[in-house]
Amino acid sequence: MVKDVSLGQRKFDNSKRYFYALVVALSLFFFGFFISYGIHAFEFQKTSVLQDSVFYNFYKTQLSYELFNNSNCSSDYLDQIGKSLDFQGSMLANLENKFGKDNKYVKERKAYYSLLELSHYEEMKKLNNKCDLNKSFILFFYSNDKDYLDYSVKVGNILSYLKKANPNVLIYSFDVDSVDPLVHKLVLKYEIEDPVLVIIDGKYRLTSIHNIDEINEYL
Amino acid sequence: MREWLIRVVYASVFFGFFALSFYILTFISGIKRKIPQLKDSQLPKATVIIPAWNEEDSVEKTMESILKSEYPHFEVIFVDDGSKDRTYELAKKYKSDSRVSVFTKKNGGKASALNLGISKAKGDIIFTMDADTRVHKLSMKRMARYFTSPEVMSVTPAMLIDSEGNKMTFLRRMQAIEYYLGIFLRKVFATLNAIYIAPGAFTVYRKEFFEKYGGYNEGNITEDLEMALRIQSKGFRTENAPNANIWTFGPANFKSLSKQRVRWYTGLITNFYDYRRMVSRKFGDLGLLVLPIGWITIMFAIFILLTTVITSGINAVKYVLYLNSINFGFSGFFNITLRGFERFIFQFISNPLIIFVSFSFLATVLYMEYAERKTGKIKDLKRNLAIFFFVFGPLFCYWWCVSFFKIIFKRAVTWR
Repeated sequence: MVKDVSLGQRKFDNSKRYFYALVVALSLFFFGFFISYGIHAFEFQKTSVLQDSVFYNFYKTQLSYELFNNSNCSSDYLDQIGKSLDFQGSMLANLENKFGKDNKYVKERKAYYSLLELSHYEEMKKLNNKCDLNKSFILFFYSNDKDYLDYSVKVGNILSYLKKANPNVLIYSFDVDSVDPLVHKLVLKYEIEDPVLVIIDGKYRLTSIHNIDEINEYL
Repeated sequence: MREWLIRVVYASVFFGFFALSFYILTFISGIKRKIPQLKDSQLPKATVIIPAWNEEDSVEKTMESILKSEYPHFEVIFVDDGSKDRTYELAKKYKSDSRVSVFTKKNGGKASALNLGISKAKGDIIFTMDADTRVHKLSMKRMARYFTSPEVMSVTPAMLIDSEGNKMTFLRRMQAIEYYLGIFLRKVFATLNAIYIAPGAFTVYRKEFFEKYGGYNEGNITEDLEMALRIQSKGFRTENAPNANIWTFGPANFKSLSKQRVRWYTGLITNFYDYRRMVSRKFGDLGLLVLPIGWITIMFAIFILLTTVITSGINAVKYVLYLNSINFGFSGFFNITLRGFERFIFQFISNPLIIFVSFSFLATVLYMEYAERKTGKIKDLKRNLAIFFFVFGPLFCYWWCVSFFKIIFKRAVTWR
């Protein structure tokens, strides 16, 4: 007949294995984050290289105008730089999302990015005035503060679509909380009180946007 | 809310890694484990009980397969559980073999048919076998050899999906992968003395256990699971014979697969609840790790599905509102640039969860490698592993949810 087995006899196969498994699990867990951060570090590096490249190209263009009085009206070159800036913008948005808006390196890169945007804005405006390119300029001031984040994202999405639908519209985004003194001066220049604001061609100020038509009206 | 969700997911991932590491370490230590085995002359007399209800399509294949078994002395008891088709007539054909007895009774469920078979059995060990199952000719021997210690009360085989003569549909391929993964886990659980699921398709028990602790619970929809938990709760051992291949047909369409899974999972939840006292250090690795992981898996599956449905719903509403804000314009919608693609890939591969899923994926490749070495290769199965992960994974969550709600709202769960 079957003999009763006392549960007191039930042993762990190897109780030390719990500790070893914990060590392996922790290693795997941190290794996963390490890989993720490694990819982001690579992204940081790539952003810096791209920004340096855009800066060099701006400098070269400016010198070209000054030295050789370049009268070419083509905006191709600036369009290319604009695309590169868009790409950098999305990279920075990812990095900000990953490391947080208060991260020292994110702040540095964003400040640099804002300068590049302003340079592009100025160059494009000059070319537009000189050659009558019929471009519209939108300055988009946003905030990553949690009270304004959802609305900022919403307006950002509408503007992204606007740019896709209308290539003659140029959009420059600035974080109102940026540490960069130039952006701060820009905020003061436009007397920005609402953290989310759209300025069209330097004249029209829109604070409450819920539909693309509200912007199209002024273009 | 989002932060809170991420914390829950990461905590679950960490717990999953802990279990994964524990299982792999157990497997490595189990390689050296020497299990004494009976010789041919020591093999006990066996009875194979085959309960059947409306199995006319498979009964002949099952009978022929079991009768070809190279086991020294065994009898087969076929119990027709009030079938409405030709199951009983087809089974009667085998009565000419002196080892076969065929009974028929009023329909009362699989457990009642098994109990009838147990009451007629003359063997010292009892194999229970589904009527849609095929066995390797050496599987009975390979399993019975484990009955060396009186503590070993049952032995489980390596369960596989039958690809012989059956069309390997997409769903069957997915089940084949799942069964493959189960072979690794069952081996690990055997090392830990923590097997808490014995396949109803083919498992062997000592007859003494039924005599002392009673037969199958006739009110239980997963009577085999209840039996495995009962064996563990009494302090006995269930071993595993990873080289004892058995093949089951596996549901071919989604409806029958869903029915099977909801029955299994409902049975698992109710039996887990009935044996909740086993979640305790007193039950060794089973009580401290294996059963709690079972509970956590159920809860996590339900949590993931519900949060995915809710967040997808919220995102869908947000997206419609966005489309409304751009007057449902689609300019540039399909304009996929190389840089845009690069952004997508970067975001994808830099997501820690994707990296963690990749680790788990690698682990399952190892599980499959082990199963292939033990049971043989099924063509192209590894190639389907990624599909299994992304298609069957959400389906598991869905079946767990359905089962959980069936229990809460006391809805009936049927066999077919």
